[in-house]
Amino acid sequence: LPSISHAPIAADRPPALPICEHHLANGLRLVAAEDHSRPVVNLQIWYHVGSKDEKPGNTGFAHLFEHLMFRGSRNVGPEQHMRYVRQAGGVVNAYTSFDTTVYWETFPSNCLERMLWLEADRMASLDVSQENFVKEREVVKEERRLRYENPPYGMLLEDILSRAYSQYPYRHPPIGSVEDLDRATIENVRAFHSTYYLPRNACLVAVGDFEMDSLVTFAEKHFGPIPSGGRIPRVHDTEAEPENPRQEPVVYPNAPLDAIVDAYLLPPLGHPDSYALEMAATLLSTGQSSRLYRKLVYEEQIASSAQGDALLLEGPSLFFCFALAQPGASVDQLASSLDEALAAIRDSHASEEEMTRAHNQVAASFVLGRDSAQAKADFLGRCAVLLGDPLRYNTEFERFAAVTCEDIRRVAARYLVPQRRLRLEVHAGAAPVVQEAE
Amino acid sequence: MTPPALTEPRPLGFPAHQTAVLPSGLTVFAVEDHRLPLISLQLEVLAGHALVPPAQAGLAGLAASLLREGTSARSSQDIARLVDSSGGNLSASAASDTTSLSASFLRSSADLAFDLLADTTIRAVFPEQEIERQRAQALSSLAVHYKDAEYLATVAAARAILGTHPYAWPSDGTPLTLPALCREDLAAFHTAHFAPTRAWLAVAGDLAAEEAFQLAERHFSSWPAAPSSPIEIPPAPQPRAQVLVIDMPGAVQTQIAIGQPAVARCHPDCLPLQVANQALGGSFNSRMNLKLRASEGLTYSAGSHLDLERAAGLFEATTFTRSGKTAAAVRFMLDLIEEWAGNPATQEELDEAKSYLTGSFSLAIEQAAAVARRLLAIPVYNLPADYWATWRERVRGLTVGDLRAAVSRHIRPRALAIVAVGDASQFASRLESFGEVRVVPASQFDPASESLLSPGDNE
Repeated sequence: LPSISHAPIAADRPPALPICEHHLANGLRLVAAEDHSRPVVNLQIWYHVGSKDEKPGNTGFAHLFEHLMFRGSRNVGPEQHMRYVRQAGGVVNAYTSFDTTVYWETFPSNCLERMLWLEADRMASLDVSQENFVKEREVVKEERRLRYENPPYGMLLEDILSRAYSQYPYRHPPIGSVEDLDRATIENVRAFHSTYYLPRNACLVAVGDFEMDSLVTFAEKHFGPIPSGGRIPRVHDTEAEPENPRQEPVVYPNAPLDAIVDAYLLPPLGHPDSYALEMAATLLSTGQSSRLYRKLVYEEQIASSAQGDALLLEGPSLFFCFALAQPGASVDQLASSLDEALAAIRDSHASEEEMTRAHNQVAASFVLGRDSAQAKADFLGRCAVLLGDPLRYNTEFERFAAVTCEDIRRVAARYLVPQRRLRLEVHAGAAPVVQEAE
Repeated sequence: MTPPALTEPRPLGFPAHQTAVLPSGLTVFAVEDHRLPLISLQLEVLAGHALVPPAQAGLAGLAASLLREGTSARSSQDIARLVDSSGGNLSASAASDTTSLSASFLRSSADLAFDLLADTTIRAVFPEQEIERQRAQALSSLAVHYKDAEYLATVAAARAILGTHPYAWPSDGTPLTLPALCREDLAAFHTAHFAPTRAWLAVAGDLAAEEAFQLAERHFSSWPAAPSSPIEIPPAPQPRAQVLVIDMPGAVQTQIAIGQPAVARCHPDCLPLQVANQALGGSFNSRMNLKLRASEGLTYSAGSHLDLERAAGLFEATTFTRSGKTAAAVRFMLDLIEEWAGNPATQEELDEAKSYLTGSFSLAIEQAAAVARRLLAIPVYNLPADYWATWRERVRGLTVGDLRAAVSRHIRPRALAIVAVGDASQFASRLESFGEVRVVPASQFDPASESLLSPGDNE
């Protein structure tokens, strides 16, 4: 058996993708890569609108609207969208994030034109009845109960965002509030469509088994006639640099274990420092030899899980550190151990062995992140829409590979400091179920 | 305007693979795929939680979690550092019939991947201090699960539907069973059930088949053949109508599961049942989701599925809705199941299910690791060797009559178990029209006890 030694940096690299771009006269961008290895295509349409574009009093609207995009357009009746995809052997879904709303289909390559037609029809027109609008709003409320209101720690994201941001519209999660959902009207729906669901605010991403020429021809045919529309309103808010550590307790009546969540304000996705910050998260959290797992979970045994992760968004972003207590461990113990781990990453360099580990973990995640047409299109869309250049698909890995131990120390000392931190102390309101055997 | 027509599909056969049986008796499948510098190893061992008595519920899962926590050659942290240094992933978990180990590594670490997978499979030693760590983590995660209606509904439904069948007991164990498990139990389970003649390894990715077989031989040759006590799991029990409520005061939403026992995965009616299920609750456009979500706005999702294992299975329809609508949602689901039992699919529904299942098969086998998973299902579930190669053809050959016959043989709409997990004060009395309602407070719910109540909480 080989003994523990310093593994070398792996020679394996994520393979490059041949990326093509095409711009329609109405402003629609087309970003695509042919991959004929399987007769499969993933198609995504990225609308550059998310929950941060919602005004106070209208939270949850971008997500509610995403649901309504499956409820009918000029040539496609309610529920027919799903049926057309299914009849073609495809799968379909959509998601709404802080910055974008993304609709996607994965399908056998013989139905590319049908899928483009479906997406074009609902970009060109939306046809939702008042009755279906009201029902869909109830569906969204059930989604909110399922993911947020009923689970023991379901309100965590909402509670941390509303405190970590003082004014930037990342203050609320995409699901929104029930009161705001109830305020939405069908007129809001029509206005939202005509403001944001425009060719100039959209990017069509496709990866898989097609010829670029046919893709362009079909896209011109079905999307080309859609008017480009007016100017897209953008968010101009900023978030003030925090000056003091903040700490707030919350009690979750249905939670059995205490927890700590720290949020540090970060620069946006694609900022030169963001790569070293993601590598810091890797050092802290990836694998069972990572710093937080080893310290809080394995050695001190005060946490049942502990993670640090960067949520990098188009605007001011957050670095989260999270620890869920073991029964008997206090919030103060979690806090001081997290503080020690963060101090260590600010004050000293990671060892050569740790750096090799982090670089290999990033390489493996890049390779794994290219294991399907959909995985490739996900990252291609992120590069095109949020990083502003689809060609960064093939160069982003090198930015991580270039990160040094000094880069990580420097960004940790710059951003992961107490004065930028909001600490949420979660106190369990429920007695733990864990019982000792006799 | 009608949608553009589909063009002729580009055919994709089930990908080729090679098979070797090592001298130790371990069967190895190799699926070559050189698109990425990545290899995936998956090992299935017939060491599932169905082999564990209810008093030891959680044993198979705890044993799986401890495989990488120390071997006769390496400590837990040695293994963690080796896995992480090469950017790999190594994990294990237990399901009803099998313990599944999985290793995903970059191509350049292929030898290490086989080494670690074999070492943890063959030479795990279950160190006392690691048992305590894993046990404490498992108990904490159960503490969270026991406050989660979705989790409790799954666990309670398995018991309501399958009674005391070996597949019925909670795979994660309970707050009472986990503390009682000791090192001897874990080691004995490992010795009794981990053997090369009861295991199958699939290697997928950037490795020539010959090399895969050589690496498997090098690292797994020392796996001793164990005494093979036969695995005897009985067929599914008879269905039994009942209404079970797990009471979580203050819950704002009720999780609902309605079901009955079903056949083993290798049963000839499995395919027509699965295709028929597409119409009832197998897709967004199924009868169940269209009714409860699209038409009634009662839920975010409603559907049905078949969990078919090696010896038996279950059929289950699930949804969730605000507390006050619980009885209404149950009524709609029961009506839909009853209607379906008499009319499992119209010709149009069958055609749509066939188009979807046969068309999306090429999506389902896009990745080498997914092909490998399907290959492993063949021996694990006793399926014929050409099961996947002929699967699409067999789906295309089904008729409405085939579906009707299979559903009428197996579905008993008058003998369904109904489980609702939520705030009982908001809905339990309104469930009485479906049968006698048994309410078990979540705080006293013990899925590993025959009565469903923790000791001292007998009704």
